[in-house]
Amino acid sequence: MSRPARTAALLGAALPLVVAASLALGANATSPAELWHALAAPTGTEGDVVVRTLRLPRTVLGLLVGAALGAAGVLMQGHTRNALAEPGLLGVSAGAAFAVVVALRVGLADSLGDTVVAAGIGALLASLAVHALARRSLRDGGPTLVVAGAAMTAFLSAAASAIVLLDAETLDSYRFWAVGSLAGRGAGTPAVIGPVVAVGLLLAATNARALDVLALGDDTASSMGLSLRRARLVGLVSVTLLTAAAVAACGPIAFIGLLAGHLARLVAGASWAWGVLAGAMVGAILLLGTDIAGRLVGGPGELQAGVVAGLVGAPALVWVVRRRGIAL
Amino acid sequence: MSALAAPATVRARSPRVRPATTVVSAAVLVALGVLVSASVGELRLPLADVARVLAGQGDPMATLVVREFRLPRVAAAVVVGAGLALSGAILQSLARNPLASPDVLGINAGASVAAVSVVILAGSAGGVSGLASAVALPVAALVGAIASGVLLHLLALRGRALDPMRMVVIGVGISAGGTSLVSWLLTLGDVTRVGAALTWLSGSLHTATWPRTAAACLALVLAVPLLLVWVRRLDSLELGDDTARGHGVSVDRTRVGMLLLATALAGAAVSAAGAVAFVALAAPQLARGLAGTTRPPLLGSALVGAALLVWADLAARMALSWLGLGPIELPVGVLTAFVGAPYLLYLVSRERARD
Repeated sequence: MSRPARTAALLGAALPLVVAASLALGANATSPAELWHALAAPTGTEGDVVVRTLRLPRTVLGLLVGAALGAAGVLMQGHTRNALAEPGLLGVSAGAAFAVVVALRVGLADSLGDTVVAAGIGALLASLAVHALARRSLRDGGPTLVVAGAAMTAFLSAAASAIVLLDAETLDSYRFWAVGSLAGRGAGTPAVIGPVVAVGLLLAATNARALDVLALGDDTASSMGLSLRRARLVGLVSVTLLTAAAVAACGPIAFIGLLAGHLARLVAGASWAWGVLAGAMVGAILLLGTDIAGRLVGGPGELQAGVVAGLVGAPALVWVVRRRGIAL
Repeated sequence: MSALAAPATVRARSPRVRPATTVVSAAVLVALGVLVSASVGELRLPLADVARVLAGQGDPMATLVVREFRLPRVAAAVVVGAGLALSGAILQSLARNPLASPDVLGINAGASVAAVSVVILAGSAGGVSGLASAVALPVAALVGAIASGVLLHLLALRGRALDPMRMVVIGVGISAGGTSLVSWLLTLGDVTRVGAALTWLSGSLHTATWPRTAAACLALVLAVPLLLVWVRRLDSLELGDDTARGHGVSVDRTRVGMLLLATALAGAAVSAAGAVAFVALAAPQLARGLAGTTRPPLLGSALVGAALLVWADLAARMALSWLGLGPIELPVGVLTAFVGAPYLLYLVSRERARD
């Protein structure tokens, strides 16, 4: 069995474990027998209700959003050739978040579908900006790209602050959404973002082939008959869809894409096709993992997944930089 | 691309203004800004009245408005702007990189985590007024800033050759970690406190008081003699680690000392006004461009920073009412971020062009 295939098998085995843990663990842990009871033959006991109405939608949401963030991270790292690229650090999530705040303020974000559209527009504009910067920073390995992303995030969050500070109602809904969390997002959320994530992942999968060719260099790739513009466009649309769905559903969650991309490349080797698959799986595992950790350490309340991701991700970023520098 | 490159070339060719002229013109801008800030507001006072108040001969109403409301605020703007700019100038010299500044390197984020904890968690008795606001908030901000400065040193500097870009990226990491803690803290309190915390996070001079300004001013005054002693070491460091060692400079110790000093300056400034963004980044580079020196001039940077913040605060205070939106103030940090973030992007793109 090749290394990527072995990795995929390993991740495939880990994923159900994390899903089971996400269904079972929480303020009141559910025993395996109760869990089976709730899933296979529910009779409306308290445990059944908790598992089916609270933890199940939350787990499905975590799988979708984690996979979206992970795949988006891998794609961005591939296209920018920068080991630190991911939606959160490069300001794509901030673009989506800012657009959502504007939509909240003018009253256009009444339904989740509208929010997804708003987030999509913001993410698209922000990724276009990142894209323009990335094209110009290829030569120096692009550490400046991260700083540019930080600048964009600072700019967009200042703009968001200016809006929410003038309106207490928007501020109140904004702060619970901006922290990034899987909790209390409504049972219908997975159904709304599911199709968007699916299309995004599909595009990411087709784009991975192009990334394999692009890794040989732009000139070689175009001499092999690859349309650079089309490859970049597909990547851009895919990253936009994945980020928009994730941000609209859960708020901006940083670092999942970074870690997923990095770990995926570590385990999947040089193939981008395996990288995208592994990235989506690692992203789902990581997001569910942070969500479970947040439920367990939070005491009576809980620590949101976005916070846990930041606390784990920031040291991980430092680790990546110290271990292998910034260039991919 | 060529359209983007053109302004940079024009700017580089424009005649350099000498360092002394920079200092004088920045000082004039600060003085003008102070006078205009004292005269403009809900109650408009002619400059002659302001002069009379300053000479101690104004009528009681004008004296109250100028002495109790406007002067503390504009004094805070001067001190905070100068402190932030000086901190940025030191860090940029130290890192030999125009991107280094307390906001990019995560020092503001450390201060923010500590300060927001106080605002949100201080308990209903303390709230954001009274003792918590007067003492705990500034002290916490200072401690938080220094803590993240120490962290930055341990992760990016200690026992290594300086890699400016790696230092910046590690700073961005510290910043991002701090930001996620802050957004968690923001979900804990009730909404009015969250509003107060968010205003602090943007950076506002709205609540400036004489005592807090005095504390920040003290930090500035204490820093000056240290800087005068160390300025030659900074010049040596500018030439590279090995050359500096050749000059008999202890590179590591100078770096630690300077980093701590810059952190303390930023922490003091932030503790008076909140996490005002980008002044520390932009002012030293503007001063360097004007003075035509290789590293940011210290005095010039401080004055340019003061001028920037005084005028930015005036604009933030008056912008919405000039636009006819009523007497609402924006936090000054929102304005500096609006102007400063595109400037940072410009710096980033120019940095590459120079490589």
